[in-house]
Amino acid sequence: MAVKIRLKRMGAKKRPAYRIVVADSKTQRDGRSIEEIGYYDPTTDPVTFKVHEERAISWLDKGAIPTPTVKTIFRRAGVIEKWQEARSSRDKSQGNN
Amino acid sequence: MLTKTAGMDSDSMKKSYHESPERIHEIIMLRDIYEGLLPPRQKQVAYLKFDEDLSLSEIAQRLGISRQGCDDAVRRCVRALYSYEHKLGFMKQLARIEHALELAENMDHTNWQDMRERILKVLKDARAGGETVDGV
Repeated sequence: MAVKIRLKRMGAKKRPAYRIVVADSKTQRDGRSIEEIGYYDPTTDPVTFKVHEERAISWLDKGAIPTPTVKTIFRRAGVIEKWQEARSSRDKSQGNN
Repeated sequence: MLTKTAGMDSDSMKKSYHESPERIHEIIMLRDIYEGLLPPRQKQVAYLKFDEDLSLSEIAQRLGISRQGCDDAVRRCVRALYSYEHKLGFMKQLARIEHALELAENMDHTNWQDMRERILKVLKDARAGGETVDGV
């Protein structure tokens, strides 16, 4: 079962807003999701988003794949960077043992 | 290795939708406005791609078509949406209405004269349909 981190569209017609969710790749967009880890609102100026860093990193560690859009949002939120740092420092510490 | 982009006009088409969240937002706004004009297949593919945030292979799997077929449909759809906007300009008009609303919401007894002028200007621009009032 492939787990993806993708956007779930909320809001109304012509007023889109999104939640960042972790979901099985086979479920419908607004269908059941495993967990909500943030939101993204493109209608504000500037764009607003919030990512629950700890949960996002934990899901990335478990192998969940973010869609390109979510990846961009993560990158802007600095999540990808932190995840890579955490991973490399963990690899190092494992290598030392 | 060189990739051929026969049938696509330029870099703008190559990057038609694999872009920033802002670009995706723009396409979704256009889709919300011009949805009724799209052929059924393009409408379906656009929904899965931009609303459900699915990858091309996931869409292909779900619809039982090839990945390349999906890619073509998405590109055709994006191109059609921008062409509708170019000809009809409803998204631009919507942005003007939103702007006028925002000004009206921020109007109070201290700034009403300035706001009134600005709202009138936005609405006159909207009525002129893209041309500046003086330029008509």
